[in-house]
Amino acid sequence: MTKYTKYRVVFDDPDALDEPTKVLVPAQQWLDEAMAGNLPPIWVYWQLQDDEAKAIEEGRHSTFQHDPDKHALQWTAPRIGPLTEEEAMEYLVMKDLPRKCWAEEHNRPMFKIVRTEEVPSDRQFRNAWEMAA
Amino acid sequence: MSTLKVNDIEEATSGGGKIFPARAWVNFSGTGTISISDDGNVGSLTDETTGSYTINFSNNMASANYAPTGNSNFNNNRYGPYNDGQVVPRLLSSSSVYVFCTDGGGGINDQYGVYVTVTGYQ
Repeated sequence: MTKYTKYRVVFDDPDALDEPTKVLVPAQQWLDEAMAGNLPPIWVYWQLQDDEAKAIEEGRHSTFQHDPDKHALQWTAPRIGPLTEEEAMEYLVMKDLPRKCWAEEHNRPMFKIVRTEEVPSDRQFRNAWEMAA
Repeated sequence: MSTLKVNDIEEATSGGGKIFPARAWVNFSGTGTISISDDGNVGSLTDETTGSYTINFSNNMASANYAPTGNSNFNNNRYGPYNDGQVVPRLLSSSSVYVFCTDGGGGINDQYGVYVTVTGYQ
C-alpha cells in the first residue's frame, strides 16, 4: 500500500534569492529504505558532489565520469542503520539541497522541514512566501 | 525477495544484443502540492517553480551523459487540445535532472501528470 510522507522541505537557494521558494518532496521508497537502515554514510554522496563540482569548475563536465571506486560506495559502504522519519528528512536535506542552504550561516533561515499540510496548495503569492524562524 | 546481480543483460536470441534498463523513473503529479505516485531510484523531487521540477536520484549516475525522456498530461482530460504536454530536460548532473513541462501551446505550466525515465550508465 502506498503511504505518503508527512514532511516536505521548503527552501530558498542562497545563490538565487529572487527565484520562488522551492519545495522538496521525499520519495516514499527512498524513505522506506532510510527507515530500514539501507543508506550509506552521507559523505559518500558529498564526495561524489565534490568531484563533479570540481569537474564543472574546471570546464570538463561534459567528459566527466565518477571514479568507479567512489561511485560504488553508494552500494558497498557499510550502511548507517535505521533512521527515524525525522532523521531521514535531515539526511535528505544534506543530500539533495544545495550545500549553501544548510552548511553556511545566513541572516535568515534558508530551509525548513514542515508538515505537508503546511505547504500552500496553490502557487498564488508564492514569490512572497517567507520562512518563519 | 531475492536480488539478481549481473553486469550485463543480453538477449538470448537475435545475436545477443545488450539490454539497457532504465536507471530511474518517476510518475508524479505536478499540480497543487506536488506528490510522487511511484518511482524507482528517486530520492526526492523539488518543485522549483511553475512547471519546473528537479528529480534527485537515490543513487548517482556514473556521469551526466545519460538520456532522460518524458511526457506529461497538461490537464485531466484524456483527449483534447493542450493535453499533450512535453517534458524538456535541462541541467543534467549525475545526481539530478532539472526538467520543465510545456503544454501543447508551448507555455510552461504545471502538469497534471509527469512521467520521466532515465537510461544510461550507473
